[in-house]
Amino acid sequence: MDICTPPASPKRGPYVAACALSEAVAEAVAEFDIVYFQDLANSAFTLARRKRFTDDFRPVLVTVLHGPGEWARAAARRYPISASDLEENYVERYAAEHSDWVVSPSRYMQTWLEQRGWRFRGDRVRTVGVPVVWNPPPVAAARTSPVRRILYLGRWDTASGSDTFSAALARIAGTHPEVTIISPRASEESVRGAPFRVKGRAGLKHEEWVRLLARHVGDSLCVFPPMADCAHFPYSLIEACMVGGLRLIASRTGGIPEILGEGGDRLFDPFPQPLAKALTAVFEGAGPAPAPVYDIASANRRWLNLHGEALDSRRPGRLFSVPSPAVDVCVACAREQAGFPRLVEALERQTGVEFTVTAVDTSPPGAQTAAVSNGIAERHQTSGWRFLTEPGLSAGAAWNRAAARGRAEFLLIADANDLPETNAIARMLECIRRTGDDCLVVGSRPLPGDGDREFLPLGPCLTAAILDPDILGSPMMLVRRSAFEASHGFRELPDAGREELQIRLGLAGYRLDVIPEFLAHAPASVPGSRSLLLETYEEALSRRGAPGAAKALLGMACEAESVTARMNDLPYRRRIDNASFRRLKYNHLEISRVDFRRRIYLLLRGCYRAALPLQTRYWLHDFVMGVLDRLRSVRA
Amino acid sequence: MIRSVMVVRELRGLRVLHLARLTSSAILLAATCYEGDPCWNEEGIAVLRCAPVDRGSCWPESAEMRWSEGVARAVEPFHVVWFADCAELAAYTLRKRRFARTARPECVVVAPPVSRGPGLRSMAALIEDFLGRYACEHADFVAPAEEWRGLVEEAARIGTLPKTRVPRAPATSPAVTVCVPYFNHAAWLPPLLESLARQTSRDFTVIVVDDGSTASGAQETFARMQEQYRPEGWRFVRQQNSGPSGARNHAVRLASTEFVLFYDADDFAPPKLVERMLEAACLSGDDVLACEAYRFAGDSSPLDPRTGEITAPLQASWVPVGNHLAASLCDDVHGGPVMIVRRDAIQAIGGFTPESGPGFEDYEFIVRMALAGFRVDVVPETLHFYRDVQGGVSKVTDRFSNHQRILRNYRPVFHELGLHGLADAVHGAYRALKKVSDSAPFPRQRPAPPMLREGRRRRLRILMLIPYPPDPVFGGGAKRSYALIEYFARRHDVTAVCLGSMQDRCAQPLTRLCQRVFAIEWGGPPAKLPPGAVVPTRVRQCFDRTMQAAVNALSWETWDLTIFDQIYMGLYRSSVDGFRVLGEHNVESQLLGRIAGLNEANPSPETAAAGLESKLMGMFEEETWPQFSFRFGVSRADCDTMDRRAGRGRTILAPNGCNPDSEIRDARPDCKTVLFPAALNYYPNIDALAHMTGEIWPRVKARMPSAQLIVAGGNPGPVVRSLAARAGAELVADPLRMEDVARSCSAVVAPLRAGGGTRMKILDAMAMGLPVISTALGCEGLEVADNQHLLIRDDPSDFAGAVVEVLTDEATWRRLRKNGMQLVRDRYSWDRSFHDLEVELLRELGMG
Repeated sequence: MDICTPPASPKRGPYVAACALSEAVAEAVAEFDIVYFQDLANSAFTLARRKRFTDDFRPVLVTVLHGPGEWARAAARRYPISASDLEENYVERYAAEHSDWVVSPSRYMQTWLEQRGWRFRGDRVRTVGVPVVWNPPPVAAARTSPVRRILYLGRWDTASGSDTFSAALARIAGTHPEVTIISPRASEESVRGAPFRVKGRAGLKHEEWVRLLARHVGDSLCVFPPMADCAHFPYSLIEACMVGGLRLIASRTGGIPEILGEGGDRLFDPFPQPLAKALTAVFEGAGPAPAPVYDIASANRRWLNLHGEALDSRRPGRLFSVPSPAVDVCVACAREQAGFPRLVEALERQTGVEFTVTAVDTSPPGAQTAAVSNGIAERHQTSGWRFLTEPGLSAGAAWNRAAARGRAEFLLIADANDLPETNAIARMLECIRRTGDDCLVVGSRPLPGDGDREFLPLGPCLTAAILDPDILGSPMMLVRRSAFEASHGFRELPDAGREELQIRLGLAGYRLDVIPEFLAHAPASVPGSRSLLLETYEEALSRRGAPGAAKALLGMACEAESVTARMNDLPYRRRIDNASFRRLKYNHLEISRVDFRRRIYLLLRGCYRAALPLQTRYWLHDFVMGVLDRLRSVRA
Repeated sequence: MIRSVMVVRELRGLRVLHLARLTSSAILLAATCYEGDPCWNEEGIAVLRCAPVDRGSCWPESAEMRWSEGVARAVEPFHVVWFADCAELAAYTLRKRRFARTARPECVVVAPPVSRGPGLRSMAALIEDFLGRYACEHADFVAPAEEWRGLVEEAARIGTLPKTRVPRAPATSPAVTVCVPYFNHAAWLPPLLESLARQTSRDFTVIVVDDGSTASGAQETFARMQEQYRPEGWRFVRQQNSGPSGARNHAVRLASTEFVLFYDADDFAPPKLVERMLEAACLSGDDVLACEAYRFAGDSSPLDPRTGEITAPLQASWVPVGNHLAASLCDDVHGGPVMIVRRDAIQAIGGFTPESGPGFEDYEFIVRMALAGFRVDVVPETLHFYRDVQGGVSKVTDRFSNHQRILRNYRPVFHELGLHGLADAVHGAYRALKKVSDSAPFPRQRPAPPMLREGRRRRLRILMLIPYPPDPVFGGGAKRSYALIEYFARRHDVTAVCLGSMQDRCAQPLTRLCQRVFAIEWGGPPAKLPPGAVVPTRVRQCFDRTMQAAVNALSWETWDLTIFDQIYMGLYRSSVDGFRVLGEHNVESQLLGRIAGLNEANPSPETAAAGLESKLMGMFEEETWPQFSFRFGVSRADCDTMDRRAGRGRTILAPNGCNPDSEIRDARPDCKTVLFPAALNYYPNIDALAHMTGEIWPRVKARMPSAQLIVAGGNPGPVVRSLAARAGAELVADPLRMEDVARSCSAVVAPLRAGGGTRMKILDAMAMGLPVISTALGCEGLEVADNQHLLIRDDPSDFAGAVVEVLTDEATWRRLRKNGMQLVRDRYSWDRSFHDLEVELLRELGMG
């Protein structure tokens, strides 16, 4: 299957690339019995979210941990710098948390993620190693002799330990033997500047380089020196372990101790000095290599067992019971009287659940507004629905007044302009009973004649919401009364939106989620005051002694973005500066040289892409690579 | 540099200082505190000169911190100091006071700092934010300046309290153990120990831990020192190499004193190190105290041993900010590695994290102490001489791993709040900002120094983009733009960029009002449109390359707010970031639609073009309005339309206004002259003039032959001239002041059949005291009533009748004059309408 990330669409908001891809994937894999997802930009997100709110147990979702975005960034020595990075983190974390099974190759990765706030269900997470599906080459019984060759294993870059390795060799300069670098892309050219005698072996296939190791097993030392937190459960190391009797030392980082075992002298701290010490120890000792603790056969077995267990698994359905009426619908209407009768009609048509309605009209007294409300009130005199008039209140205050009038366990917060689907309340109630969450919001479609933009909130990704509060979304919201009251309800300020309450609930530890269904029609939401949202964050952070962190994130991220945008505009700046605007006295601007070669490259690449369809390009690429491979083999 | 202050000398025996940014209302506010006091007189106002302290290269960079230090020096002679609108400048004063035996000034009052907007956009902003909070935490009184009057007596009482404080006695003797981790620094250990031996206090002992030194001579030096200082009782111990953390933990385990003072073996201690650090700890009761540092290079001692003067040239100063956990997410602002710590606090958190790889162990230690709730501060004295050594731990270790060591301590705290990834995101944003700022080919505009911000509320830096010169003489649009600039420029720092040549009579007052005014010559090369953009002609005309260059260049400065005057400036929105506001004079598409609807039976080229333009404008509006989260319009109907069609953001009503004091006192009802004031190059006005001269005025003349019509306004074209001539009207082209023309008139007419927003000519006429006869469309959007404030007539015959009635019936004339003037006084002054707008804007910026 070839599934691409759908591009951003003006008809759908908010756009989160990982989420959009997961929606496409969800449609494609819905018929499978079991689906394994990688944790990076985990495409299980949509399926996992849907399954939370239904009885479906197919397909079984298995998330395989091997290095999500957070890990990838840490390994590349980078930090999350944009809302999309944080949103991707959320998607990955959510999908793993709500997958049916989580598989971790190592205990290390599971712990690493748990330290970063990931949560796994204890009974559904397994540490199984990685499967190896080819047989190791036969190795003749090796006679141990002094080390005549150091085999550097891994990519020749800083994260993989090239600097550590070079610095360590510099410390024992003159005492070490020749170095051979076995790397996917390390040619002799790339390591020409290395301060030691070196041979590069690039482009070897699995079998080839394992055979190389096997050939030199008796007189070589294999070194695997990645920096701290730059290697997880390296497959190449596992493959090297298949060569019996190979002397091998590696950094004590990631899941490497789980492969080689903590005991013995095979591990060193990932810094030059310990590596130099470890090298010296091996040169002087030259004893037989101990066997690794990692057992490939049992890892393969564990994978197969897990597969069987996952296929047989069923999630028991559960529903929390609630007394009736279960829901108080709280409506605030201010100057939206055109929508209010429509909302009341929609509430009248709701099916399958008992609820009461309290509407608070905050319009100024007089005029048409009260008359409309009163007309509706007369119709519902017997149904127990309440219609209050409190002129001049903010929407938050109106919802608070309405909530105070009821006693049901859940509050449905609606605006006079919202228009719920016929089954909206029953469905939301079912979802909250199924999950035990404290607050649920739904997707919304536009009102008739109000455009065609749908909105499905991403969810309570509170950190990303500092930068992009739109992802929370605010159309119709079902809240547990206890959570609502403990949070003192809405802020009674004119510019406090519904998302402000969501943030407070999230910060207070209540469980929030999004029902991935379009259960309401609503106008495009008007975000509340950004300052107020930040204040909400800052209050919580001040209580933990770190005021200013949210403001710093927002301010610095925006500033960095704006400076970057200006930087990208430099060629244009030069033109305009030469034109006619010298009197601004910005003449001290020194414009950086325009990299024409890169421009030409980008232009040619764009033409190439535009001219040839994707499949043709794939075919062409395969053809060229095939020809090159053939040339290489002829040359060899 | 001058900072204006008010000094009230010798008020009840105290020297009292009121300090405010520049002059400003805070001075007057302070004066009211002493109103009626016999000691108060105007001679008490003086100017205090102070300047930021120049520390050369200093980390962290913060102009506010340097100013705060300068102010601390300047206010020392005073008993009572009131910080009006500059709480952050009080921080250093209060910090000095906390750690000094003699507390001066005795009483410090601060007004709470105002919010700096939604985000903190740099490390300097973070520090300024912290300084304000620090001042509020440690001041004697925190109260808004308006409430100071009630504090005068209490402040005076505190000002007379005893000045000298006595630190509590330490719990152990000796009180301090100086812990020195040592690894291969053979050359520098002897001078350090010598400097410790010369301390002014003897209430300490020393433990030196050799962390498995390997360099040649290192162990010999260690043994020699051990022998040399044996008589002092100092301890020298060795351990296997476990890094500086392990060495410090070892020393702490061996220590038995109440306080532990960490000092690195390659640094140098000033003579008062132990005395001052101990005194500060005992005076403040804090758990961890760092100090300021002086970085120097070289192997020799940085102080002259005889005189105690600093001889080593300064490389850089290090002035820690204090316990600011948010800033510590970005970089080290807490201080260290020299710090005095209560030993039981160290034990409570388990000492330093024993990790040999990455550096930043001291930075991490203070962060952990702060996160655990221990009290952390900085002694504002240079008590650490830091030797710049090649190959220091923090220089040779992986920076990412070092910072991860810090961030991991924040993670559990943020996870409890559900803020996963916040620590990494803040640090990432800081790094990204630093990277792009460092690589920018020209320096980013630094924030204005504190002295440039005036008044109680920080003056906003506002950029205004205007599609034509805001000349109040020509037309309502220019009048409104001018009024907007005038209002905001009186209160904030406004830079205006407008398209079109500006005449002197307009340029001069504007340049006086605004910080800078840029007038871009009309008709330059057009700017490049975004690909695929569908843009109305008039918007396209306003999208000028030179103007865009100006906006791009100005966008490098930091603006609190950018006001786009009308939709015509909408294409420049991508050139400016930050908070952007759109001010609309009309709903242009609606206005064009109305023009297109005129003379449907006999369409002219203007009306036909307006029809197409209306459609394009409608599309452009719907694309542009949602890009502005904040808009303002002139009438409720326009605001509702914008809100409805934009679908997001909000629109505030800022109605048109006028100058209510422009009454023509000698206006008479019997002039028999009617005024038609308008911008005479504006199609709705031309149409109205055609309507007036073609259908209304002949009827007026038929009933009242002596009636006269004056047509007055800017830029009359040949059509206008011929229309005026046809009706026998007098044409006054480009009048300097409309009041001069109106003086000879008895009424004003506004027979409009098209238009948008609200008509300012009606408000101006009412303000001048002239009755107005208008069509219903002419006065739409204004809260006026027929027969009460003006006469509303749509039928030409009725309109003519109303004109005659006003010119002949003195009672009607007087009634309309009185009511009209009253109405504009009550509701339609520019100040009133823009005040509400300003309040909303400040609130949106988090400064309300």
